[in-house]
Amino acid sequence: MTARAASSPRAVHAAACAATVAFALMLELPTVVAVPLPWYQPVDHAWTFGVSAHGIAMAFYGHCLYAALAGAVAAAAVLAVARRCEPTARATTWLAGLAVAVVVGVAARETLALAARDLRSSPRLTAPPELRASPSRRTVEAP
Amino acid sequence: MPPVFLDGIARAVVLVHAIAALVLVGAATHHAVVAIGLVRGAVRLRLARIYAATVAIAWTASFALGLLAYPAFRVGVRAGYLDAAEPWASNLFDIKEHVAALGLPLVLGVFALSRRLEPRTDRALAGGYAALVVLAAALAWIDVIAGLLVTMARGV
Repeated sequence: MTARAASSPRAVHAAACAATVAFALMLELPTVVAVPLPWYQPVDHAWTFGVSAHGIAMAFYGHCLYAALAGAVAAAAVLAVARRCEPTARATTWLAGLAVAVVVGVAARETLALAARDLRSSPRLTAPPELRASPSRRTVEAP
Repeated sequence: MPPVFLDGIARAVVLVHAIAALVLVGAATHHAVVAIGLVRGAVRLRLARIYAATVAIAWTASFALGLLAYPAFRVGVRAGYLDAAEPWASNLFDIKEHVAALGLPLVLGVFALSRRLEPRTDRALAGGYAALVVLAAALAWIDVIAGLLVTMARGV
């Protein structure tokens, strides 16, 4: 690291990489450890907060909120450090490599987990028989 | 189906979401070509900045519209049909939303970096920039293909 003032392109690059890494790791964290999250329950138009929720519930908004906060904090922290002490060329290359590796790793882990997910016990609406039998929602009416 | 947030206009929202995704995948691909050119000495910085801005706007718009249409999909499509009949599509959709989220800080960071990038004087930074841009293009293609496959199984 060499001393340098103001936010140089390398400082911005370091902040972008840090935000990407922090966002990806925080997006994945609730799938690894039990983290209380905001859940949206679209049928009830209600929000709940907890590790899990009953019925048809969506955790994705909560995941994104936490990840965005982590990314913003990481970007601000790294930018503050990198403004005072500019990353070297080697550090710049390593940071880009780290960001790519973390994003690819998190995406691969999530893909493997979801590909094996069993939805047989997932909460469902009771659909009419014609919808359950046919992949098309359209119906043909007799003249 | 019980009433769900924006259910009445969910198809219109998804249509605009798809148009934004078309813009995104085109701009992201062109951006990747231009960014690789920066590393190889073909410096078209103005073009890189235009594509970086286009990708950031299109990604953010597509992601936001997807979030708005998500409750209608979750209830009417996934809980109402896919989980029972086409569970692979439900799982693919969740992979797609995860990939879309992962790309958001990436494209916003690339946009910020594109405003300050000087590849003629900093080759290391051009390489880092190109790596992030190529990754964003790959994520955009994965998302668009996954979205098409899910919609083929059942749309909102």
